[in-house]
Amino acid sequence: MIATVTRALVEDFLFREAALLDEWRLDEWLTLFEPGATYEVPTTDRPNADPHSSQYYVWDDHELLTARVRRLKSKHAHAENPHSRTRRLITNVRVGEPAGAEIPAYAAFLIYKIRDGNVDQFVGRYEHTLVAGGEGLRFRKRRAVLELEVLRPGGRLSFIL
Amino acid sequence: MKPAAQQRDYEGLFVRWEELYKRAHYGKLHIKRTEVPVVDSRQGTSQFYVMPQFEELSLTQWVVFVRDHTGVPSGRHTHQGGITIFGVEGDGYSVVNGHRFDWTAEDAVLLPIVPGGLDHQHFRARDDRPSKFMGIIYEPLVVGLGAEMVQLEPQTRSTEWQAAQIGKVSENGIAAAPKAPTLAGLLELRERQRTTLRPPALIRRADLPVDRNGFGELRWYVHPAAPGFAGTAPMFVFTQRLDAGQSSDLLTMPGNGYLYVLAGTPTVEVDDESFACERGDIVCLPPRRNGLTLGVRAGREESRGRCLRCERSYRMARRHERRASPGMAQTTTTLPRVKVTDRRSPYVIEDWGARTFRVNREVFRSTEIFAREQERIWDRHWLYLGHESEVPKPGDFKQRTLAGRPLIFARDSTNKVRAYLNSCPHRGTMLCRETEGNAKTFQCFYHAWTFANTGELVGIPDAGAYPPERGFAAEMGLRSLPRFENYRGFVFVSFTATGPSLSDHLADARDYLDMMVDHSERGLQVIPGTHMYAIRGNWKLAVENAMDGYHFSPTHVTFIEYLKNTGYVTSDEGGRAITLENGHSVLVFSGHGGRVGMQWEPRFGPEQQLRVEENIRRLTARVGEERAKRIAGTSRILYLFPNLLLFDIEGLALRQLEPVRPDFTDVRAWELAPATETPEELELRIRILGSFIGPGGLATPDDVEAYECVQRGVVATAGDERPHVDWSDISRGMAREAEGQPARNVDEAGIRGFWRHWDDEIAGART
Repeated sequence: MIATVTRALVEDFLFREAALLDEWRLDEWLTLFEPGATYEVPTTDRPNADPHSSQYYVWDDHELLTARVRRLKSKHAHAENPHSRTRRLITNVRVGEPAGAEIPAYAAFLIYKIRDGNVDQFVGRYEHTLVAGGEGLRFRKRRAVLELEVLRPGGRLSFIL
Repeated sequence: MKPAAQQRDYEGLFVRWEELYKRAHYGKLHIKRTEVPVVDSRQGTSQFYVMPQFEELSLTQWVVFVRDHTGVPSGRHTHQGGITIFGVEGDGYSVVNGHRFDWTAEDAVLLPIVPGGLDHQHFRARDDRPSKFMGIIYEPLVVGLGAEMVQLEPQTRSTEWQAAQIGKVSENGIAAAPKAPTLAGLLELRERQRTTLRPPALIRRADLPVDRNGFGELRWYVHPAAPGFAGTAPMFVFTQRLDAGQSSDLLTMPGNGYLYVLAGTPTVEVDDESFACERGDIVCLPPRRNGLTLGVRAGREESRGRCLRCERSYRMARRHERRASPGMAQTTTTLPRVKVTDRRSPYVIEDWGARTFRVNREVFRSTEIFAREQERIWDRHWLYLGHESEVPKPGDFKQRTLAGRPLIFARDSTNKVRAYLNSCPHRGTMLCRETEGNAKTFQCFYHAWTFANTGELVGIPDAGAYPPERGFAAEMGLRSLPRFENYRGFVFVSFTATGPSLSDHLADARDYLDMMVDHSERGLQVIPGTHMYAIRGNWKLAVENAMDGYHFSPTHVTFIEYLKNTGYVTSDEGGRAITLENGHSVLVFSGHGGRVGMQWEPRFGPEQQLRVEENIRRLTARVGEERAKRIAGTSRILYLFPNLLLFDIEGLALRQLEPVRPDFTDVRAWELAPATETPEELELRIRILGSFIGPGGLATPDDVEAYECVQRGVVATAGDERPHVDWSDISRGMAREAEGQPARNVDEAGIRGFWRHWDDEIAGART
């Protein structure tokens, strides 16, 4: 059990996560989620809407998240096969006030997605909820909020944002 | 017209054929019994409905009469056979070459083609009973025809037909055709026919099996596949019976025949015309250049529709549109007869002889075509703007670009939904610069002119510098759109003031839209959160993709795998593609997943089953059982030309296409939910649809990959003049449809319908 969660710890966690994703090590990445965790990406026009009653881009419970990973590992996920090259720049990391076991973690992200001669940029912020456990930090909620007005020109969130 | 008879030169032939063509296409179709005079002739008392010399009629090669020999026997004469005597009333007997055949109403006596012809005479059976028959003569057979070629393959799709008991005819007629079409094989066939050739045959209605299909209950009297001598006659003679209120399927066929009403008051539909008929009427079915489309609808009263049908037999029907059959969902409104003909424009080639449909790939690349689309389609048609529930409260507004023009989509303070050009009437400044919000007025930041959300100019700083008359302010209000209409919450606009009404434009697509809205007694609402994304592809690729059931398995294989892991196995069995009018089309299917609120699937969880039952109970109470079954039990993807796709599938979604460049399209997508849905069901709906649709779903990204890869791929073939290379092939399913089978969702009929209409708008005759 970690006594205090410092920014350095959260950064290490996020940088490590970014490396796993950029290297397409998805099974390992999936272990960063606690059972029952969620992954969400709201739409650009309603970033603070309630996902129970609003349309999101991504609103995965753990089961759907697992299905998403299984799909991305398949040769037949045509949108990501061949894989995009990605490079995630994670910055402006802050740790919020813990509430019980939950540790809010904030960051800015800039993700370059490179494929088919296109370099698409996705910029936004992370509003995660982490929990500390025996193996270190894990996601309870992984939330990515885009600053883009629309997904343009790159119209896919087939990779992990 | 005498010139034809006297012109003995080549031109005379053209004149004659032109006359025959005109008769077939413009001649009279409906002959009422009451207008056919009863005359005496050397054969007896008759009503001659059709004779070749009746020049106003569309049929030109037939003699059709009803002879009444209740009083006296008919005359006796000899001529070639190929004739059917069909009893229409009472009882009688015919004596043919010395043989007597007793018949009653709806029995038939077939007089075959034999060397020397036949002599025959007809009598009433009893003094106290009427005796009338119809003589059916296809002139070319009687006028002089010997042996003829017999088809070596079975004919049209009604071939569930088994060997019938035709009187006592033996069964080894033309049962076994030779395997290879050789001369020896043909001679063997002929010999077999000659030895099994029967004397004139009596066909009793009571002995005929019933052939049930989408055309009703048919009984075949004469059919090329029938054994015995009947098989040598190139005719169809059959009766067709429909239940009260039933509509037959539509068949587009070569024509050359007629329909005679035996009972009931059916409506007979021939191409674009429709005739309310009574017993004893005839409707001619002439041979028309592109075939003739026939449908029969029985009257609504207790008497059913029953007709006698006689036609020159043909190899294949052109097109068969199902209307009556059980199984897949059918619209209860009359399907429009979308005439399908060959086409050869610079961009679209359609050739039913070769079963080919090709689209020139320049349509995806060309800036010139893109500009023409802007002018002829986007600036003229009804375009989907948005749903009224996107601006739910008075004062709500949203910016929206449509056909490249920035607009304001709003609900004014009087609660009316509106659309304005987002351009200040003063000097053109973009007036509303917030993407969305709520306001009573719009103020242009540049010179502070202020407009009420109802459109009036209500404030000009230092207004004294302008003409004081009221006229100026009235002229300078917000610009509304030339046409605006709200159909059940779906708001459509047009940038042109003239053209068909929205209702006319939607035509039969409206019913599919209704089926979506009818999910709930209070209609649908767009839920918050819009998918807004761009695809690096031409807008027409997104239309093709949505109307393409063929891609579902290969493209979405990972989604199908995911569903399988949840316990649902997908299927395309029974899926259909229906081409509607005005460029719209719809795919109808039921094997891709459940439907939240309407049809259960393992992913939905056990509590949903009860909710579904309750929803269906309420739906049935609202719209009746048959319609409720269709709404609940099948999924639909509807395309409304030009810019809207509606998904009535696991959930309800809209996808709006906004072209930017030939290779770039903006897409907006919304999710709808029934206004009366519980929070639990709404949450389920969102989860289920979200797993599939949208940039973050498990399926749409692969569609985006498809659009974008086509856009990249078609560059390779640009300018290549080798045949077919720079053309996309969209012919899948044409062979089946040519044989009269309905279009499947996994074939490409839905896409063809779109291209035909697009081609009419862009390259074709429409102005």
